[in-house]
Amino acid sequence: MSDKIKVISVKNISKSFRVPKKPKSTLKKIANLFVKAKKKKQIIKDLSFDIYKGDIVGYIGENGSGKSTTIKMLTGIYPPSSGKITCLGKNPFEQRIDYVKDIGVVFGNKSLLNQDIAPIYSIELQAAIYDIPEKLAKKKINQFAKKLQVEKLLKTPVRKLSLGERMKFEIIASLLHNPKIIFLDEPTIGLDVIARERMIQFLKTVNEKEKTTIFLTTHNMDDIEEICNKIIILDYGKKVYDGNLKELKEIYANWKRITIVYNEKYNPFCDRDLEIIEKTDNVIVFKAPNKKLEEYLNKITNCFEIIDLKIEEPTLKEIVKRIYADGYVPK
Amino acid sequence: MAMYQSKYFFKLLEFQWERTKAYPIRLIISLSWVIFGFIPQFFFWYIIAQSTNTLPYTTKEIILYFLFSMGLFYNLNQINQYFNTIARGEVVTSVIKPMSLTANYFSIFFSTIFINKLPNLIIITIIGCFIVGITSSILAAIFFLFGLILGCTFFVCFFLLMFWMRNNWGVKWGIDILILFASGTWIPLDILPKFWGGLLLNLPFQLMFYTPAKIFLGQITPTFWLILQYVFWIIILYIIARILEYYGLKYYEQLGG
Ligand SMILES: Nc1ncnc2c1ncn2[C@@H]1O[C@H](COP(=O)(O)OP(=O)(O)OP(=O)(O)O)[C@@H](O)[C@H]1O
Ligand SMILES: [Mg+2]
Repeated sequence: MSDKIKVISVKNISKSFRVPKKPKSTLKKIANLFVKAKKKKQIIKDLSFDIYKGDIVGYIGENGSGKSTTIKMLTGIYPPSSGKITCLGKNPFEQRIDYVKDIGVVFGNKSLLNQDIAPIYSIELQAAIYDIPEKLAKKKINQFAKKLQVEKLLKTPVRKLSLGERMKFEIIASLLHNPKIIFLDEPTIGLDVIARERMIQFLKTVNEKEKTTIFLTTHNMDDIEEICNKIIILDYGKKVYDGNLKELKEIYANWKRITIVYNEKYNPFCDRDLEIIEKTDNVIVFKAPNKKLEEYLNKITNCFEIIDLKIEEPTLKEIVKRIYADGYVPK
Repeated sequence: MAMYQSKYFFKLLEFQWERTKAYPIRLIISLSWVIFGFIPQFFFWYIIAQSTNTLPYTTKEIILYFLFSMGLFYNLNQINQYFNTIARGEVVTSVIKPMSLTANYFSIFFSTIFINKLPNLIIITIIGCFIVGITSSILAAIFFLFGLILGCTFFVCFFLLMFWMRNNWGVKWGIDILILFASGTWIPLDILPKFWGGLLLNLPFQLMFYTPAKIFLGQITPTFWLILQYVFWIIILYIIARILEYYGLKYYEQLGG
């Protein structure tokens, strides 16, 4: 660990927004017409983490848990209410103009591209902002577009592009200047299976080639499983997990999924003390703790006439679901 | 830094040109506005010029004045689309660019209006060369561009106020009226009552249209002092913009994105 370069250091940050307060008494309602009453709403609570060069970090959490808020603080859009953020040795908010030269940001829901004209113009404009020589920029754009298989669409107006195609151009636009860190807020939102895979692979090659640090938020656990070497789980502003995927699985995979397909149920009370995840006509998924695996298997084979049986590790989705529900990680 | 931004600036002109080409109809509308705007103004001032001899303009001069100011006038309408970016949170895509919001939005506003007005500027300058002479015509075009820089710096200040005002239509409308009136687009400032004329002549807005139009008529000869006035006001407005930007971004966190 010590030979790695720390690129992002977040220390005990918190963030509160001032949100409008509903006035209760009539008098306060009248006063509210002139001066809006506000109250504090804490979004991020005492959050700390470190990210090293070359990491691909998956930043996950439920809707409204503060992921986008964190990205906005990390990209210098606003400062934390307290605590300290250091990215690439700089304070993102205070040294914004200097800092953003070295980062790329993609917001899944906000476009860098002008809707009226072809993406090439917006991308070339982006290249000019970062002072990339025109020839080099053209070469790079073509190269990236080829990799993402959108080179034929460079001259099509953005409003005529599909969501996935547009997203690819957003990524190209934010990668032209070889940023040291890329922040992606839900880059795979709305992409089909193949497009998503291609984009994830593309990010992976960029990471391998340029040692670019990637920080992404997503609701798709496949993204995480495919590229992230570190994951941070946020639960309403609190960090509940920070580490690699393997460890997370080890902590949580203290049970197995047993899926059976059966013909006929022998005893209707037979599965009473077995934990069931899913149950359909003739398929049942059991959740068997590792310690009781034998007991489960015995009971199941005794109770059912089994056609098929499958034992699996829990999926990341299930693990994450449980963390969201319990908000707690056993050590 | 300056080099860095001038490259962006020229690319932006090209970019705006592409946008204009994407909707050529906008250019035609803008040109027809000139014609339709000009006709009622022309009759109005023609009648006034005919019926009174207290006006310090001849009929020909008043027509030229309005040819210039109606042909080139610009207002918030042309850059209105960018004013929503704060309220809609899209301004974050500008915050993550390595330049100040002031510089970025100034470049955007200037290039948008410049590309939009370029055809008119060329036509008016060419017509002017035959009627008022080459020197006056070209000097007027140059001072119009100085005025455009000033106007865009003012628009940036006003845009940055949107951090607090959130795209308020009423205020925008008020600003449009103020600019059109105080810059002399609607009424030449020297025919206003003394108090108002004197007041407006001391504000920066008159440098946007009134002064270039008077240069067009050959009634003002540009001096070094006049250029200094432009520079002075641009610097003042730039400083105001940077202050607004600083506090606006601080305030923005409360609104989120
Ligand atoms: N400017 C703001 N003012 C008040 N509340 C805000 C503001 N911005 C965000 N919030 C609140 O902060 C919380 C976290 O928002 P954020 O956008 O960071 O969530 P998120 O984790 O990105 O969620 P999602 O997965 O839906 O994108 C939400 O409850 C949201 O309502
Ligand atoms: Mg979000």
